[in-house]
Amino acid sequence: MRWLWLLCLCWHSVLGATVVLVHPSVPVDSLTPSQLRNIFTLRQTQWPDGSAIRVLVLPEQAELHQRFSRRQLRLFPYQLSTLWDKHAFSGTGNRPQQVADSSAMLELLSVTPGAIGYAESGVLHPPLKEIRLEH
Amino acid sequence: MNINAAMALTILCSGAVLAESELSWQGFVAQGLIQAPDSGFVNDDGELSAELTEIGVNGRYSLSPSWHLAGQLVYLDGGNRYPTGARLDYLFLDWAFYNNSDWQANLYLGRVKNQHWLYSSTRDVPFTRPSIVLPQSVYFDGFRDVAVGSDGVALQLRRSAAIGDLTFNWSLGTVPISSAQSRLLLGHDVSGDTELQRDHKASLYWQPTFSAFHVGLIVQDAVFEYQPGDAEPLSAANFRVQRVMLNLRYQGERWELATELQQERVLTQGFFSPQFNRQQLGQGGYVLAQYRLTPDWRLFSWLDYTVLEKDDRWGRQLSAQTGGMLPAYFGYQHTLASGFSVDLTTQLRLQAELHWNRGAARLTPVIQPDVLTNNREYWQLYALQLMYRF
Repeated sequence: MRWLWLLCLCWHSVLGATVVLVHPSVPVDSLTPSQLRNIFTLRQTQWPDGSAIRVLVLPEQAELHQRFSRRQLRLFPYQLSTLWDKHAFSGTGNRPQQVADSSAMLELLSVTPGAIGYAESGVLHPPLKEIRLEH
Repeated sequence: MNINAAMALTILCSGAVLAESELSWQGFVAQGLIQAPDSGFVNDDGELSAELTEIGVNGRYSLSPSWHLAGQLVYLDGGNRYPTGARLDYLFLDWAFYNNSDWQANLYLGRVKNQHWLYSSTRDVPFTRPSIVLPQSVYFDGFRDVAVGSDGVALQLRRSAAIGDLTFNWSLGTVPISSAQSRLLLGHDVSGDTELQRDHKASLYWQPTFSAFHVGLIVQDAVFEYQPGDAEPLSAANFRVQRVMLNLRYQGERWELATELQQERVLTQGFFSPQFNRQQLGQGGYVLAQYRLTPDWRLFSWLDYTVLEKDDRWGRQLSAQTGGMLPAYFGYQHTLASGFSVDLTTQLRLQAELHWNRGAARLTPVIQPDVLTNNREYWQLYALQLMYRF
């Protein structure tokens, strides 16, 4: 069975799939595409238990960010950036916390309660929780 | 170095220490050169000017997941476009009194931003607007301090439903009007007091689920009062501005299109004489196209149209009412603008643009136009600005 698991992993990587990850304290197991978009566009700012959502992102130029933005959020990266700037400069929200690279993303996710971010599918990321995306 | 220490160092280096209560802040500095010969848009002599300065610092302090305090200080120098100086752009308490995946509701109290138009909440933030000088039909610079926000209360309700995302904004407040702003609106020589009694706005936006389009409807009702100075040959006055606006935006991968169309009723009672009574029903709007050549290079062009009276589109009646003292071109202003921006780094942007204008309806002052300085029907504007964000 191990070869089958490896095959699945390779197939995911070829497709360039991304996963949504959260800090283990986050009281959510699944999200719809619309809910995911609401979080990354800073509309929804609190988890169901009232705790703050802390959005982590990679730099706009990062290939993984571009892929996540287009495929999962169905937004072009410039649209996200424009929205975040609008919130930040009109006082209605904070720009998401930007991290330097994928390893920094995983590290910060693991130590930040309420944090949500993304990573390449298939990358091992304990103790983070992977969010099931409903379609 | 053990693993924990390495992890801590990485996190610190990424500037990513997050606490329950936190302050975030950022700012911008922009300086440019601008020239509008043959008009008083920037200065009275039409010479090349460095009066294109915008500096701002803002912060947002999170008291809890539901309570936030936000403020921004700006320094603006736009020559004749708006009063020069520092001002408190906004300072408000933000209460997110309902927030889940389907509904989001916020109440803002204090000096709140105008969230109603496409670019109104960040019109002074160089990185967030499409052009250095925005289409004057909607973003009239002479009205900037009045339109940018108000002291009062605002409400925002957002709903994510099967039909898409709906956003409702409502605000009610007033704006202190400085003597400099008063002169810009009314005339160079006025010395009385202008007061905005109330500014009432509401807007509704709809974006179909995952659509590249969104559409908005905005209404505004503002009432001003003018009390003349002791030695002024002017009468006490009431001005009422009622605006209805429709906007539409499309955001594609390379193309971005936006339009805002408005109809504005301006009622003037008094001012020139106690019996003076005038109603103007103006129309205007713009169509903006932006094209992203690369993630760093962007081209844009917009066409802007303004008439102060829809039944007098070429200002002939306006001119006749003043016995020809006021040229007909003060009844309209049409502009074609084109330019580009390039991101030199993630923090530095250079932008340049040209405007070809016909008419002077959006040149200050409004009520008593400056016919000596604005003595050309056709005039151009050139602007270049370097913007830095931190």
